[in-house]
Amino acid sequence: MATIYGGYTGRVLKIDLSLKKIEEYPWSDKERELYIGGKIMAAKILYDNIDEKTKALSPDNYLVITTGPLTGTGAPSSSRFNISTISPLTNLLTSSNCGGSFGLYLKKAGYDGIVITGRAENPIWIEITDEEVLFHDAKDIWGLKTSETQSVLGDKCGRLVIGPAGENLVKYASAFSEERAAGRAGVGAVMGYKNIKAIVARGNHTVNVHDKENLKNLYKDWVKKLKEHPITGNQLPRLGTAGLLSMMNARKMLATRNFKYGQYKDFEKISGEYLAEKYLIKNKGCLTCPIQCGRVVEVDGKQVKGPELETLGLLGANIENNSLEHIIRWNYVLDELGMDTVSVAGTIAFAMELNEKGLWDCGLEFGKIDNIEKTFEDIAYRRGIGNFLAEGTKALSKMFGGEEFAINSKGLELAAYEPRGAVGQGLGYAVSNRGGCHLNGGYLVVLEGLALSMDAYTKKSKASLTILFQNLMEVASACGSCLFTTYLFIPKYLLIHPNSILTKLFLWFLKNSAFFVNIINKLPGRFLKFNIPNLPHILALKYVTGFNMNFGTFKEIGERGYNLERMVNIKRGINSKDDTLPKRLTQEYQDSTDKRTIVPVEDLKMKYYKIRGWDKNGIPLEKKIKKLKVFGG
Amino acid sequence: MVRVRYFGLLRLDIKRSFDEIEAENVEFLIKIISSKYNIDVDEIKNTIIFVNGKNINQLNGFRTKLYDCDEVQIFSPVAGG
Repeated sequence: MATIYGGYTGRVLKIDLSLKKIEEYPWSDKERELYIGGKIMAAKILYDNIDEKTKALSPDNYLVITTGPLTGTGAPSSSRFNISTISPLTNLLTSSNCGGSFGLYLKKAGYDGIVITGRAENPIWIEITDEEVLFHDAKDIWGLKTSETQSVLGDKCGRLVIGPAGENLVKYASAFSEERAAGRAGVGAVMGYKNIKAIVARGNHTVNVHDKENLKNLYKDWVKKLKEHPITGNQLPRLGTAGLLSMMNARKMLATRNFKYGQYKDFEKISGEYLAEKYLIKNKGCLTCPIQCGRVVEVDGKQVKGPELETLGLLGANIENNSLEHIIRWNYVLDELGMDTVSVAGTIAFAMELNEKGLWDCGLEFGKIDNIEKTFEDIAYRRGIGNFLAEGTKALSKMFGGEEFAINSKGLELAAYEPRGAVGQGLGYAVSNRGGCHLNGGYLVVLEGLALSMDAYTKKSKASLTILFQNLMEVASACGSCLFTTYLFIPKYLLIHPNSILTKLFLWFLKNSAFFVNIINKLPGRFLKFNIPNLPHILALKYVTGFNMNFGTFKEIGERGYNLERMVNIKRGINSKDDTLPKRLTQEYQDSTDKRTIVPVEDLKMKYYKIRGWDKNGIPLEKKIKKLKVFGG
Repeated sequence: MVRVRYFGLLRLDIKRSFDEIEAENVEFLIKIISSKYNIDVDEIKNTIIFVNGKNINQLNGFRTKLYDCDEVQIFSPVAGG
């Protein structure tokens, strides 16, 4: 359906693999205004097309690949795309966001998104150009690893591929575009089930924008701001996300020994500093990104992507491995096999503890690393214990017990932040729409000890701030922007002067900010008609699309998106009891002498529901849904 | 002697991860580090400093006293996981 707005191609491709049918998915300008793109657009498509019985690994599941309106317009750090589907790991909605170039090329092919349903009879790869959509036999590339597959498919195109893990339906298999992964919750397994080895997009379509002149100046200023900000202009380019690990250890937030502890004695050996000193060849990043947070290291004489923070923490401290060299190699091996480093590491740590407690004699032990690489292969090809591990932590706990230390939320393994050292992050993990995800959870840990030193243990204001951050990150992601661009929201002064009186006052205010933050959270967008220069996404959306955009509208789109994703999960049968964490994190003190060191998840979540306008069961109230126009109107 | 461990960007700048320094408090320690590595005192004051695992802002700030074998960790703010 053609559009009057800039930033969009105006077309969404629908492919029914079972019927071999190609058509346009109806998507109106009204829907573009309400749901923007990316994960929010995908959530609406999923809500409209799946029901409570749709199985993740069935022809009925929908795989929805979407871009945002800023993608392809030259916006800094905005080449991303999103994949949403019903996850085989959680049986709920997942949205998995990815860098790489596939999103840009999809727009060049003339599409804002792809909606895939059904299942191909035999393995195929799909070629999408601005002229046609072709199904190719994939028998010659089935079985290849992710980089081999991409090599065969050629260059000057966007490639989205799976590896052996996706083919073998590992529940946390990922999809890859170049070296970047749509990592979490098994989108690669859904591709594998549908017999899609790869999707290739190419073309010459260009994206129109509404106000070219103003946009050019805004983008110039946006790049300048990113380059001048201490996080995006200095820390991330020089240390990458790996630079967080040492600070997390100091703050007792580094998941260690299957989240039993928050500190690891050998943290320095797996730190970002050590990576930069001993292994870093150069930094690298996505197209259109001035941050360049990626690490380039060497494995087997090849220059490859270095590990991110989550991988360092979870394949390091959390399994008590202090060999950075091994983590670098494993990161490469896992990318090649095509699976999520977070979930595989979390599952292995859980298996180690099951073994230690005599619940499952699987041969995996904390600190023992000689069998890890083979275990990855066994998982990807579902051999031996790998066949069990491929099901993820929650499924393992149902088979062997140990639910109280099965570190997941809603079936998704937690990231590397130990939430008993950052209780707001704990709330985020528990209520996040996609399960134990730090980002979808609101990433409050950034205030609770990484960028800022807010009281990490207090319950005060945590629910309010979590909601604000979740909503803003939701809409920034839907724009097509990397979430790292939202760090501009943290004033530079606070980062440059962490010990000043003003910063201390601000941190005190933050702790007591619930009343003010809730005004923003609760007020309808029409009462917040102002702009925030440190969130350039707002004006960028206005100049790109021509939407009437201000902070209020922007925030409201995020809130609508978060509630819509929640409604998909409500449809799938979740309620308050699912918004939780394993007992280790809610009942076992991290430090037995300090009663603050558990996540008070029940208290926090009730506050969270109330502010969100959800009932005690965690279900959004009808009046909230109507007010936010969650389903349109 | 106080054991000083450097992290984050400061460590990359001074190309050093560890020092042992005699200092009676954090303020004095910062002055020594400043002169040793030719870095502005204010630049070091604008880092996040832990003494024996506690942020100096929870202790006595720059006047936090240091004793033999204390461990000081110096960080820059970080984000992006």
